[in-house]
Order: sequence, then structure tokens, then C-alpha cells
Amino acid sequence: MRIAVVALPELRVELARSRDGAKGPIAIVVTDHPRGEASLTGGARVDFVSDDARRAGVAVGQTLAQARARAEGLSVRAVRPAEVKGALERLAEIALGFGATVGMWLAGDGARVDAIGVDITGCAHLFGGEPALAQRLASVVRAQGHACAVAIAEGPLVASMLASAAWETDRGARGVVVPRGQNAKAISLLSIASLPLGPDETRWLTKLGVRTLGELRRLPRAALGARLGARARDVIALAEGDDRSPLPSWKPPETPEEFVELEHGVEGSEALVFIAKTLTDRLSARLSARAMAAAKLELGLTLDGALLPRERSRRKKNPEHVVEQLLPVPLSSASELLSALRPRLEALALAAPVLAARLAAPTLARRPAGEMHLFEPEARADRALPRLLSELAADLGVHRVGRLSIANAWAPEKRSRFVTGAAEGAGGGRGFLDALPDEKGIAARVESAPMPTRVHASPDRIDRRDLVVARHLYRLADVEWWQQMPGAARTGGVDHVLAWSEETGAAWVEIDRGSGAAIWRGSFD
Amino acid sequence: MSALPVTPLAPTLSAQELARLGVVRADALLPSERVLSLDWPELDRLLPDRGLPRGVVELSGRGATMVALAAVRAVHAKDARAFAAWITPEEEGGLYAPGAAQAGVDLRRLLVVRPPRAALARTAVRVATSGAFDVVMVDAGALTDARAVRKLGLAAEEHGATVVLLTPRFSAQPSSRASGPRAVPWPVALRLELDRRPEALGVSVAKDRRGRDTGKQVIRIAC
Repeated sequence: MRIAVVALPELRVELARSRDGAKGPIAIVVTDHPRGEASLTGGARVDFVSDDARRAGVAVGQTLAQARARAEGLSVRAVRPAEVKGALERLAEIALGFGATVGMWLAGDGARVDAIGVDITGCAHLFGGEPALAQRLASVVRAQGHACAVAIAEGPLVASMLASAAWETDRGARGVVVPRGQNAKAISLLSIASLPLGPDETRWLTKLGVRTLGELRRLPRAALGARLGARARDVIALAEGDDRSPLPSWKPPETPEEFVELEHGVEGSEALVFIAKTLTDRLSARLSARAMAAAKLELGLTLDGALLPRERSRRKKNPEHVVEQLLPVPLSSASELLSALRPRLEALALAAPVLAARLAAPTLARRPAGEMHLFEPEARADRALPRLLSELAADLGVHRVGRLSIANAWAPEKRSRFVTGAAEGAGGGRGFLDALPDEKGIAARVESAPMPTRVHASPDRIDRRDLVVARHLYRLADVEWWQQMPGAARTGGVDHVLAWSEETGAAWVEIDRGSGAAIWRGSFD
Repeated sequence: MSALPVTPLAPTLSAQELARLGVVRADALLPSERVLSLDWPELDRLLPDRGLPRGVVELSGRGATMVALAAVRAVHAKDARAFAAWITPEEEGGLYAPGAAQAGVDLRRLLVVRPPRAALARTAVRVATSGAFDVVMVDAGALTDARAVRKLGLAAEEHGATVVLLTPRFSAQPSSRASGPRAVPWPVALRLELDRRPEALGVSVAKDRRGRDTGKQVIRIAC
């Protein structure tokens, strides 16, 4: 089993910095307290530190008072476990683009650093080999704003140990790829601290002068077994490079969703578009990994209930304002998703500042994998139409964008159908860009007659005496009688003619054969 | 043998600069890609450029839809992946699908947008600037803003497209009966005045790039 592990040692510091752009040394306390930093006292223990804070002498386990005494200008931030889990889940979903099974480890929860793993068995050739895959995986994670180190080995624990070591060596600048059967050799120089051992066992081994896994392998197994107890077999096997531990499988949610919590409430379309950009960037990465596109977007904006009029805030503390946008063409790129939301956000008038934003893609469609031709340029419509359609749908409404289709109906005025993006977008696939089957059945029978080119929005009655009938088109009698009200008198039928007058020009006129009334339905313009 | 002296190459001159010097490039005599031929020989012969020029074209009067459909058909026939757009205010009647199909238009490659009348100019500019279409048709009876036409012209020039404005008869004349006089003439590359009769189409070039004004010429059409 070939496993790629991405170690993210700076994840929590990055999350804290991204929230308010804090610079300089930073200490992280992991807490689930709703008040965040305000809940921290000087006695709270530091859980993570940034590199510059570490250099200043701040260490994990110190109290905040001790840490502040050592580093001048130390920023202290509280990070919620859910926040870390959310970030790891996003990266795990992105990693699904590299293999079928992904997993993740939270630091302190049985792992030394936050990490994600992906089973790449049989997938490496799709990326041009394992070194290329490692490089691509690292670049995708870095594009999300996270420093990382990648290692590929046989088994998740060995890969995880090597990824951590790669971070400590050169900050993950070079990925580590261990050839098949070379696990033992690759980890022989790693410190015994990288093994899943308790502090007592590690201390005992250090006292014996054992510092690396290579040295550990040379110890007699019986003595090790007696000292390490129940875990001895697994630890010895791991030291020998035999890693049979399973990858903790993580299943992505059915609906991809992104969430951003804001430090302070924001107002104004510019700020909202900025937040939407963050959300669309992240959602796009999730969609890419699934090879899917969004056919519908749902943007939920949590409003500050304290600033809402009393009657609105009474129902819920912080109500959510939901903006739904149906997309005529399923979209996946971040810029296209943003362009679909932008007109709606610019037209939005909110009653209170926004405290949090959520972007989901409740309807997904398979993203078509189009091949680019080496010598033929890409069709301009293929490139520009998805973005335009989404912008028009957001600006005008999805029911105002579509195309014409021929309907299978006897009544000529019903043969022209305006099929909107609303009807097509929900269908998935390429939406508007997919071919619509034309129901030409009846229209095909009468297409030998000249057809009008224009149909009037509201047909007018017209004086028949002013018209000169230039051509009789067709006669309809008793068609679609099942649509008439029961008991309604049958009419004698209607004639459709091409008529002419100075006022109407070449007109499409329907003449009732019984009453002789004429209706101007359209034009041969 | 001494080496020939190396002289720097003359800077490349544009076609306009060459024309000013009296030099006509041979490719100027070939059918230009900047003209959209309608594949309608009788009509093409009457047009100054043997087709609709890239830029903004105004088709005014009865029969404008017929010519516009011919332009869409020509675009669809020329490139199997090309799209066209047709923008009609939602308050007005629209294209009749069987009629458009009969005219040779591929309905699957015709985007139809029905904006409110107030959003017509904005929508037309957005569609033209997208660069997705070879030809954009606008039912421009409600369009009164010459600035929008100028924007459409810039977008059409940039993307090598033709934007066709379909206007009612007389709307360009000061004493208009249809939609009032225009304060400023529209900056269009070509304006055709059309007059559809039961078995004929009258065509007169009211304005082209060279400022020509031709008399009305008549094309017979099948009815």
C-alpha cells in the first residue's frame, strides 16, 4: 500500500494568522471556549508555537505568563479544535484528487503533527510517477496557504514519520519518496522520538544510548519485548519498516461546503465579495478534487442578531440570510463561481452586519473532461460562455436566459418554446451547453409552409378588411380537443395565413373560420 | 570577400500606414475575415463590403429579422462550434423557433436573453464584451443611449464580432413615428434600411464606413 502523507506542522499558526493577519511571534492555545482569547488567563498552557516564537525561547507546555516573559510582542491566539478539523477536512477532500482513500491525523490526538494521508496505490502513473505526484500534492496544499512536507512510503506511519522529518530538515522543500521495499533503510536515521512510544519508553531507550531507529533494530528483540510490553511487536515491526497500520479513512460530506467565521461583523458589498472570494477559492478546490461542478450555489450569511430590528431577531439569535443561485452551466473554477455570486452580492441589502458566511454546492454535476486540441484553437464560446451565463443568471434571473426549442404541439403558437437555464441547470451535465432534443414531430409535418420569424407577446385582434391574404399556410380543426373545457362548443377551426397590410407588413394572422375574427399572432419580418 | 553590411530592418508598417503611402497589400484584395458574408449572394452584392462588417451594424425596418437570421445561419454554417446571441426585451415578442430553424439557424447554438427593457443596454454590452459570440443580435427598439452603442462598437472591435441592432422603421430620422428622434446619430459601421414586401425585400445602404448612401435596391424572395 503506497501512502502519501502531507505533514502540516504550522497549520494552527496559519489558521490564527489568517484570521486577523497577526505578525511576529505567536503562541497558540487550543480551546473550545466560545470567548476565544478573552477566556485565556496567564496560567493557560501553550499548545503550539510559531518558528519565530520558538527561536525566542517560547516552548510548548509553558504557561502564557512564562511565554510572554520570554518573547516580547508575543501574540496569543485561541484556535478551536473544530477549526483545525475543518481545515484538515478541506485538505483531505482536495487530496481525494490524488487517490481514492484519504485520512487525517490531528496533532496531540495520537499524532505528532497535523497531517493528511492519501492512498495513492495504482494512481502515481496518472501524474507521471511518485516524485511528480508528491510535488503536485505539495503545490496544491501550498496553494491553499499552508506550509507542508510530503513523503511517500509503504504504510501511513512510516510516511508520516518521514514527512515530519522532511519538515525538520528543510521545511519540506524536497518531497521524500521511498522506493518499494526500502522503508527500513529510509527510516534508519530517524530519531526514536518519531516512534509512537510513551515518554518513559523513550527515556529508557535514550539512557541505553539508542537514538535512531537503526540503533534500535540492533537491540535484542526479547529484551525490547519485555520493556515495551504489548506495543513491542508493532514498534519493532515499524522500526524494521514493516508498516501494516491502516489509513484512517475519511469520507467527504455529500454536499461540499465552506465556512468562514469573521472576527468582526462586515457590511458593504466590497467586503462581502472579498469573503465570497475566499469561499469560492476553497469550494473550487473541493470540487476539483471530486471532478464535479456546482449546478447550484447556496450562500448563507449569518447576521448579527443584536443589530437587527427586534421583531426579526426574536425568532433566532443570529439569523441566516440565504442567497441561492441556480447556474445554467455547472461551474467549478473559482473565478467563475465568484462571477456568478458577485452581481447578487452587489445588489444585496442586509439589515445587519455579517458575522459568518457559508458557501455550499447543494446540486452537483459531473464536470466534463474536455481534451484540448493541439492545433485547433479553443472555441470562444467554450471558454467564455459558462462565465457569461452565470453572470446573466445572477444579474437578470435564471428565467431570462435560455434558448429556443421547437415543441411538439399542434397549435402553432405553442411550437416555439423558451427553455431557460433554470430548467437546464438542474439537469446537470453541461447544462445549457448540452444539446436539447428538439421535439420536431408535428412541426416537421408543416415545415414546407413558410414560417413566421416573430411571435407577438400578446396577440392583437385585427380588422380583417384591412388585410390582403398573400398565402394560405394551413388549416387546423379540432386539434388538441382534450385541452378544451368539457362541454365547450367545438369551433369550426382556424386558418393560418400570411397576410399583408401597410400597417402590419407581412403578418402571421389566424382567422377563425366560424366568426371570421382575425388575430395578429406574429410577423414574417 | 567582405561581408555585406548589415542594415537594420525597417520597422513593420501597419496596413493603414502602407495605404497612406499608396501601397495596397495583396491580402486587402481577398475576401476579408473582417466581413461576415451572409451566404445570400443577391444581398451580399448590394452591401459595400460584400457582407456585414465587424463592428456595429444597424438593420432598420421590416425584414430586419430575415437578414439577421441569415447572419446567424452564416455564422453557424462557417464554424460548427460558434455561438450567436439574440437579446430581446422581455416586454416584446420574440423569435419564433420553427421560423428561425427554417431559416437555417441551429437553435442549440443560439443564446436567447430576455432582459427587462431597462436592462437592455447593460445586458447587450455585457454579452458583447464576453467575447463568446461571433454575432450578437439586439432588438434595439428600446435602446436610446448612443453611449451604449459606442461601447458595443468597442466590444465588437476588440473581439472581432458583429453586433447587429434591429430597429423599427424611421427611428433614425429626426421626425420619427416609431420611437422618437435620436439626439445623436448612432456610431454604426453600416446602416441598412429594409422594406419587406410579400415577395421582395427592399434594401438601401443609409450609411457605411465610407459615408455612401445608395438608393433602394430590390431583391426578390420566395414567399
